[in-house]
Amino acid sequence: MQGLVDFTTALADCISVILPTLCYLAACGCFIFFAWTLWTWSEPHSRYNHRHIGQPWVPFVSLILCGVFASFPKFLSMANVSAGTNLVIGLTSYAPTTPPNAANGLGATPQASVVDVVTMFQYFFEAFGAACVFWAIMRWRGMVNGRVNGSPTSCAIQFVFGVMCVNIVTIATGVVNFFQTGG
Amino acid sequence: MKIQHIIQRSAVFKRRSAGQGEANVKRRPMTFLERAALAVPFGATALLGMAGHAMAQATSPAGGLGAQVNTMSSEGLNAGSLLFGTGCYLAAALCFGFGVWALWQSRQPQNRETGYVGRGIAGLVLCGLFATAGVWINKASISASGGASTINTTPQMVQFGAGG
Repeated sequence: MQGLVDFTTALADCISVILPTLCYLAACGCFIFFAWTLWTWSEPHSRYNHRHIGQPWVPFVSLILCGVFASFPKFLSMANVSAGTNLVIGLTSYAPTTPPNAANGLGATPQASVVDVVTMFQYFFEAFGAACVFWAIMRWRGMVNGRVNGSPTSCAIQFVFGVMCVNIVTIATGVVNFFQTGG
Repeated sequence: MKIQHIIQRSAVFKRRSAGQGEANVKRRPMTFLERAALAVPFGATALLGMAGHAMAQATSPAGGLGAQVNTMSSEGLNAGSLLFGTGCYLAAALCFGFGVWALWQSRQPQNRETGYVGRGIAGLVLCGLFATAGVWINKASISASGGASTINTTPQMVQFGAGG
């Protein structure tokens, strides 16, 4: 079990490290897209042939998302405040995360054991959730730009799922408490 | 260009009609090789879970996957920032050059009413926008999330705090 916890924590480290890089590249790409689309729209003869000429909001959506990606941890923190957990997400220089000790997984009650197991894989859930939120925003941008076929509702669900994953311990504790009959 | 619009619309119709079709699809039975391929990830997970003392160290590992991805993301940031800087520089130069050229062309008798003045102004404004891209990304960041941009070219790691 410890091996699995170690491995998932290492995967969580990978996701946590690659996410700021992807955010940086996405922010740069969104800004270039915004400004270059405005420039191509100014072309006197061919602007009416531009694929986004009937959707004037498209470059400005990219501009706003550029800002979201550039301050993605703060955006996630705001989502956590909305979710009611106030979990603060920030950035730090890379340091390998110490995996939780799997030997302490068995709690005093079955409910405590469930929460313990979730806590052991907490880092992976959190990193995966943050990546889900990033991907939901990227997909939504693709739909707004007409590059991706899909439903914005699915992006919203993916977004909420990502925020839930980030707050997995709170949610697991809540679910366990929901099933706890007491007495 | 009209052809392009037709293609786009048909793509939308195709997407809508795909959801309305009958879902009468039978899954064919999996072959032995497919079953074996499916078993590999589950088997690997089980091996990791059963590894016990071989990997039982709840300590901070150095030189793991995270360290390698950190190196790779550092390289990605270097390449991306260079590309972005180059792209913005070239775009600023193009916008300036073609903007001034559009203003020049706007004074030609045959181009008086074809939008050259607008293109010239747009070129000059966008030249400044490209030349100060970082400032504008920071402004967009403040508008979008109320805080300055924290993502930069330094390789970083997302850190999750304790929630309530």
